[in-house]
This record gives sequence, C-alpha cells and structure tokens, in this order.
Amino acid sequence: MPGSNQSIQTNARRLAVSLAGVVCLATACATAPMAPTESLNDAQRAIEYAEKAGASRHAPADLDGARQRLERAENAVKAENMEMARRFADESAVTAKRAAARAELAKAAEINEELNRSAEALVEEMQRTGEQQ
Amino acid sequence: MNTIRSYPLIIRAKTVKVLVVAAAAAFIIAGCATVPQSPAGAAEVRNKLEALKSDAVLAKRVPVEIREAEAAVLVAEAPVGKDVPLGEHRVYMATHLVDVAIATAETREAEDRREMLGEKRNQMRLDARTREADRARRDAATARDASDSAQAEAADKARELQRQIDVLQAEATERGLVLTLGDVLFSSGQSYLVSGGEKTLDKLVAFLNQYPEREVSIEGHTDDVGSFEMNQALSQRRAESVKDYLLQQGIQAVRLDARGLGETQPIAQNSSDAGRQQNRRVEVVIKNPPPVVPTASTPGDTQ
Repeated sequence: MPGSNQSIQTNARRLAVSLAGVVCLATACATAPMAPTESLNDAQRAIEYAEKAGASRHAPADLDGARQRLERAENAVKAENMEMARRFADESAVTAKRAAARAELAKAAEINEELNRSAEALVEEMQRTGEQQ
Repeated sequence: MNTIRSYPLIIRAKTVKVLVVAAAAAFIIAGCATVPQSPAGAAEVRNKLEALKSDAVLAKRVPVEIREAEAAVLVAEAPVGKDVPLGEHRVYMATHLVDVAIATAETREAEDRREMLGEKRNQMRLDARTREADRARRDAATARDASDSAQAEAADKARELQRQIDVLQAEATERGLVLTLGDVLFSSGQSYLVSGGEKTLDKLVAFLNQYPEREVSIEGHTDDVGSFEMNQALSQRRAESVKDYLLQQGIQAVRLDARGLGETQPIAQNSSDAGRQQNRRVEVVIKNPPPVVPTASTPGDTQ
C-alpha cells in the first residue's frame, strides 16, 4: 500500500529530525530550538486515521494537502525554522481531520442512499403483492 | 530676476508645508486604517461558525467540535498587525475546524436518520406481515366455515338416511337396501297386499320421495310348493302388486322394475314350515345411488 510506504518514510524522516533536535539539546546549542515533535506526531496520526477512514477515495484533495503540509513541516525542521514547522504540522493535522470527517460523511451518505433504494424497492414489492391479493 | 530666483524658494517652502500637512493628514487617515482589525478571512469563518451554531438540528450533535472551532475562530479574529502569514495560518486552522464540526454533525444526523429509516422499514415489514397474517386468518376462517357447513350438511344427510333406513327396517346389502315384505303381508295365495303391507310400503314411498334418485327393483319369491310355473306367475303378480301400489302413491314408473323369481332364490330351507314361510316373500331392493361424478357444482359430496 502506498500509504504505508509513505508513513514508513515519513516516520523515518521525522525520527531523524527529532534526533537532530535532541542532539542539539544535548549539546546545548542555543541556536537550534526544539522541533515541534508533538505537532508532527499529531499530523502523522491524523493522516493515518484519515487514510483508514477512506479519505483517499472520498476526500483525496484534503488528504493530499495534509501530506504536502507535513512534508513542508519536515523541511522547515531541517531548515531549523521551527515556528514554520509547527504551523505546517498543525495545518497538516487539521487538514487530515477534515479529510477524515468528510470521508465519514460520504460513507454515511452512501449507506443511506443504498437503504433508501432498498426501502423503495420494498414498498414497490409490497404494493405489487398487495395488488396480486 | 532676483524675485524670480527667490520665488521657487517661497513656493518650495509652501509646498513643503502643504506636503507636511498632507502627510500629516495622510498619517492620521493611515492611523485610522491601522486600528487593529481581524485578518482577511476571519469574518467569513466566523459567519460559517455562527451559521452552524444557529442550526439547531446540527449544532446539538457536535458540542465538543463547536467548542474547538470557536476557540480557533477567536484566535483567528485576533489582530495580527502586519504578520499576514500568521493571520492566514490562524484563519486556515479555524476554517478547517469549523468544516470538521459541520461534516461530523451531518454524519451523525445521517446515522440518526438511518436508524429512523431502519425502524420505519421494520414497521413496514411488520405491517405487511400483520396484514398477511390477518388475510390468512380470514381465508382460513372462511374455508373452515365452508368446510364446516358442508361437513355438517353431509352428516345430517347421512343421519337422516340412516333414520329412514331404520324406519324402513331395510337391510343394507351390496345390491342396495333390501326391504323384505313377508308372506303375512299378502293374503294367502293371493297377490294383493293387506293393510299392514300397505303401511310398510307407505314408509317406502316416503323414503323414495325423499331420495328421488333411488331406483327400485321389486322381486317376488315363493317357496317350492306347487309347480315351478305357478310359483313363477305368483311371484310375478306379487311383485307387480307392490309396483302398482307404489305407482298409485306417485312414484314414477321409470324408477320401478318388477319381476318374479319364483322358487329360484330361496333364503331358507323349504323342508320346514318356517323356512317355506320365509321363502314366500317380496324383496324390494332400493338400489344404491349411482356413483357421483365429481363436478364443480357438487362441493362437499362424499361417497
């Protein structure tokens, strides 16, 4: 699955980025602030959740947007622009959440549509057999 | 010339003054413009959130999501001065959280509607099954009634027939019902019936009137006293006597058949008085009804 490959790569990248931050902290480099690991984690989890919810089918634009923003967040970490990284990560998370919510809505609507169709068929069937009686 | 040279200087000063005043005015105006205002797009996301909150049906389903969105919208509305990117970021966050609240609300509403729809379908199926069951019950009751009345009728008929047969004191054989008119019912050696005989035959007449489909075979018998031909003639006359009586009582001739069998079919030994008396008889055979061919117009008939 392409999603999981991407997640593996993203996780690896993020791990590297976080390690860089930790190393910096360990060596007390004053010029290297902490990477926004919590925001990055949230974004990653939100994207995975959206994928499971079927966002690649029902909300592909949002899902793609979330992945792009996470990538930009990681790039920002590498560029040591932690504020930008945090913003991109937060935006990624919230985009993924919208992707998931819209996917759930699309699925619920599909089910109701199907049920309506079968209900109409049932009514028709009953009217038919009613007439035969 | 000197005035011309100094004129630009004066003008320049005036211009500068005007410019300064203008600039000051501009700064004042610009100062009004720099009163803190929300970033671009904040008003739009605020409106979207308020629209959701005022939708009673949707809003009650997502209280948590609305609180989260409200917090983000408040942040987005806060002035950011010149930090346009920050403003954009905040508006982006708020917009997406409002959209999440809306989508979640609509999903829950769809699920609730689905439940209602499921209940409605169950109710419809239940109604249909109830109607079917009622219909089946009515049909069964109708069929039962019809069958009951047909059965009751048949039972009544059978009872009546048995009663009549009992009254006749006829014997059921494979030929049909056999009513035996004994010797005492005929005057000795004669062929006409005595009144007792007529009484018996009246019962037969009543029976034949009640069961008009039955045909009758009247058979005269004698003992072996006297000649064969004499016995034959006597038995024939006695049979015809019975037939005449029945004709007089209105039974149709087509139903009646009279013949003499003389001494050919004794039922007892002719060697004794009792036996001979027994042999001197007329047997009225009420033939079994013809077998009913099943047709649509004979419901409930049983053999």
